[in-house]
Order: sequence, then structure tokens, then C-alpha cells
Amino acid sequence: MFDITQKIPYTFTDSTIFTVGVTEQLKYDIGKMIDNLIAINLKQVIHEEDVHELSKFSIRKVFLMLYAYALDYNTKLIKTLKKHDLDILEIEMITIQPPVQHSGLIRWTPHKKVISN
Amino acid sequence: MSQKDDSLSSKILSEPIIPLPKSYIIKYYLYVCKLLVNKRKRSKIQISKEYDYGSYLKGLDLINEVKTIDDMRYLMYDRYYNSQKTGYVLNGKWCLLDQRKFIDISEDQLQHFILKSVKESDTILELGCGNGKHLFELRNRGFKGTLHGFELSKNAVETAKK
Repeated sequence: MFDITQKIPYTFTDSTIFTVGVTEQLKYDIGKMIDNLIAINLKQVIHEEDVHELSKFSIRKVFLMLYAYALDYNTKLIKTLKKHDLDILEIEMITIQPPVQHSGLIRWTPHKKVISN
Repeated sequence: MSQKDDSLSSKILSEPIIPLPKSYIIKYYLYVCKLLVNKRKRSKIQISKEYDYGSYLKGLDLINEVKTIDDMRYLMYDRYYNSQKTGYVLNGKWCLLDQRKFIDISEDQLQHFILKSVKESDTILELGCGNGKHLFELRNRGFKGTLHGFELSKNAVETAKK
């Protein structure tokens, strides 16, 4: 067992790591998690997570933000990723969204890594 | 790895879409307002308890009923949320959709996204894998590389091992 907000005690060189609905819960530690993932020399990371920043302004967006505020969820995944030494390779929105979610698929790789496929 | 273009999502989404009654939308917004009254702050302990779906399954005595990947995918939603059709947003428009179809569409999209991004010989790890439904589905769809899942919930791991 390990804590992804602490140093990860394994090596996952050239692996692909993915998360589904994890980062929203790590509002205060998401930066640490990204640092720890970069440190293990992985190939790429794929997230299926809420990306509120990418939703257009609407009444629904207001309620999405209020929902995230009420449950203390992270709403700044993209902004946080951009602060780190990584390249965001791809973002794709989930076709159909539940009322209080705005999920997207994000693929990133630690900076200067080259993906060959 | 490449996938066929005629995805499950495309097939489901080609079916007629039922618009969601406004009363449902108001219900969702009222639900959010109710949550605001009891605003909470995240802590590690709270997160580990709140998202322990393995314990939900155990609490509902459903672990022994999990025998197939479909059980892993639908059982908790069917029993815990007890909903057939519910509201979703498709391209900015509210619609009424069977919950199982939503699960299928989002799973299909996730699987396509992962499989087009990896090679057959790659190693894939999921952090917070729950009962492992995404990993089992990757294998079902022909991924031949190494798969690992990490999960805090002992009950979820127990279900995955079955």
C-alpha cells in the first residue's frame, strides 16, 4: 500500500498510469500527486476527471461549481497540470455527462518524453 | 492499439434521445443547494471512507453476487442508486437516459482513449482501481500487456480477486 500524495516507493518506468474520479478528491494534494508521478519516470498519464475549467458559462456551470464547492472538490486540474513540468498531449470531453459532473479525458507526459505511437 | 470506428457509444447515441422534463432539472439544482447548507472540507480519512464502494457492496451483501464483469459494472448502481432512467447532459442538452447506457458509453469512451494511446506490450496501472472493472474490460478488449491496479478498499480488492 502506498500514498500517492507521498513519495511513491515503486518504479513504474515507461508505464501508462490512469485514474478515474481520483483527482477531484485530492483538492489539496493534487500538485504533490503530479510531482510524485513525474518522479517515477512513467511514460504517460491518463485521467478521466472533472474539468470544470473547460465548461462554457451557463446556469449549469454555476451549479457545477457550487456542487464542487459544497463537496470541496478540486476544480482546477488543467490549471494545476499546466504549472508542472509536463506536456498535455490530448484532451477529449466525455460525450454524455451526469448533471453535476463535467468530465474529460486528459493525457499527459512528463516533459521532454517522446511518445512513439 | 487501434479500435473499430463503429463504437458502442455511436450505436447507443444513434438511438432517439428523450428530453429531460424541467422538473428534473430543478430537482438537481435543489439537490446542489441542499449540499451547500452542509458544506464540508476534504480530509484523507473522509475520502477513504466516502469512496469505499467495496464496502457499499459488502454492506448491501452483494459481493457474493458479483460473478461477471457486467455485475462489477452495474450491480452497485442498480441496487444502491435503484434508478432506471435518469438525467444526463448530451452536447449541452438535458436528456433522459437509462443509467446502464450512460455507464456503457463512458466506459467505451475511456477504453477507446486508453487503447489508442498505448502499445500492446505496454504496462498499464490504475490508481484507485476499485473492483478492477476498467482493467478487466481492457483485457476483454484485447489488451495483452501487463495490468496492475492499486486500491485502498480491502473489500473492493476482495471483489476484484474473485
